[in-house]
Amino acid sequence: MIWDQDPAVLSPVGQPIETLLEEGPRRQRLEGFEPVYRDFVDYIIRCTHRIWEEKNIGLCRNHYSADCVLHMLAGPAVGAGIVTQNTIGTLGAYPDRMVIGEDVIWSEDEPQTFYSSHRITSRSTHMGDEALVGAATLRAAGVTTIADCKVVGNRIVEEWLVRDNARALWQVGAYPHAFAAVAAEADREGDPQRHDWRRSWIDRTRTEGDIAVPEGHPAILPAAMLRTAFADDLYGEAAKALSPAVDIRWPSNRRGAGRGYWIGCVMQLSAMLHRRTFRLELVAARPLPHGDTAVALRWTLAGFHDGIGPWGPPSGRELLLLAVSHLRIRGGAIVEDTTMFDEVSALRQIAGGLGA
Amino acid sequence: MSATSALKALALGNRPDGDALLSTCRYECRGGDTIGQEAIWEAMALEPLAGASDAQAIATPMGLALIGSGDALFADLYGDYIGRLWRIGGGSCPGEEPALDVPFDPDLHQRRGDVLFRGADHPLLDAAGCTAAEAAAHMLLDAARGPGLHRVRLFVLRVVADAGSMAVLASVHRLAGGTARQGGFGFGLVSTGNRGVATIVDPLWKRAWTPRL
Repeated sequence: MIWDQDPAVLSPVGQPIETLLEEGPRRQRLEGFEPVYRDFVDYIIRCTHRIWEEKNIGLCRNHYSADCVLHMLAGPAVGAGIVTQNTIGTLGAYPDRMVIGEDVIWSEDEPQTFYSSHRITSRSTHMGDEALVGAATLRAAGVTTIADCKVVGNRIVEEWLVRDNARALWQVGAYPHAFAAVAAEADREGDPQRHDWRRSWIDRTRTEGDIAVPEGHPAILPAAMLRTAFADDLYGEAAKALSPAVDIRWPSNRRGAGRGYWIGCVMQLSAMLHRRTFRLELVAARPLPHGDTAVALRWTLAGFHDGIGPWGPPSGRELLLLAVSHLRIRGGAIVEDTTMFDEVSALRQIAGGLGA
Repeated sequence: MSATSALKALALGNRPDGDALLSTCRYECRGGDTIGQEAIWEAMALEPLAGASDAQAIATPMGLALIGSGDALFADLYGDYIGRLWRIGGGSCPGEEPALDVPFDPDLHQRRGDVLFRGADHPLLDAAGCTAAEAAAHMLLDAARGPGLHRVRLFVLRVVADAGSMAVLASVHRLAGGTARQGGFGFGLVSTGNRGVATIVDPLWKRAWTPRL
């Protein structure tokens, strides 16, 4: 895992979309990828553009494997067919959706096995009806999603998706608690085994320990910060990894600055989730313009909802949270933290959804 | 079109020619944000920068400040491209949304703070530049303080300086005094140099405190 390999493969940060979509020769060895893709960042940006904006949604069938698993806190989806149909459904409700790629932080952990952490903020208009949200509102919509993909030979073979769903509901006039309650009621019907993935993931979080981060990798600093906070409860010590003026963006429109604000965001979770376990699942890093470094960390948190906080009165349930953090490091400290997780799925678990 | 020309066009409420405004550009205003060219054009056309025609520009390869009358824009630059944009003092964010508030302590110490600044966040500043930026930030702090406020903290996000002028962009957190301490974040900008000192601070945030979803 060499985090700054292939220096010709640039971050999309600071580049216009016209430049990003220029066609040309390969800049990186990519076995089994379509000739149009110049490098791995181009693969992520261009296939997203072709599928979502050019509406060539059928391309999902040769960009996802037949058995690809999409891991989401709302439950997994399996296979290119479901990805295709879900994409059509989303575009039916939000047809002018632009899928704006803010960054692609990637790694090649084994030869020709690529991981991407793709931070997207969408912009769209809610023009079509939705099953759970209801009638079209014509309101502006658009939230941040981070999609982590494992890619081999032109196909996404596994994906982890976190989306700021509470903000998405607010934008169309819906309510996270109400949405979560309806979804939880539906979860309690039918075969409960379809929710076994949640128990398994909690068990992995509880027992498997962090992924190893190689010496010298830029992720060492933020990985230690998260562990020191969530596992050791040494919040002040953890926050020393941040610039005193760090710029923070967390889900549900948490926007603020400074080490204390970051501690506040983390402690909202720690105060609610007792007997918690933190697990680091994946890291990647890439150079950014101006000498900065982008780091991606995917992490999970398992804990018992025994404390009051943003999600309401304690339910006593054991909860799972899946999150991805994108951090900008400058001069040895974190100057920006964009962290995303799906709080609606947390509320859904609290409401008795997503299995035992 | 250069980034300066594009930003001046935006300030006047016009669409800039060319692609200087990146499609990934995030626009931050009054505690909210939006992204993309269309949303930014819409926001700026609805509420152009006050004093745009005589606005002062201060630029470096990394950033650009455009300072009007009680209203300013600050842009992150990547060459001739604008990658992020802040509106300070004026404007509104299209479709202002609910937000989850975060209980926090800005200081982590009994010795209470005021300006949070780290020189290494601003790689184009030398030691003298850092000293000048911190001094300017304290002027902004003075402007942000007012009667009835319990606490004001400045987090310095960006600094631009050319031969004769400097502009400092900060995230400003204010907590009102009184029985219930309403507060929140906004943005502030101070400029010093050729045209004297100008300070611009967002109005105090008025929405209700919302610590739960």
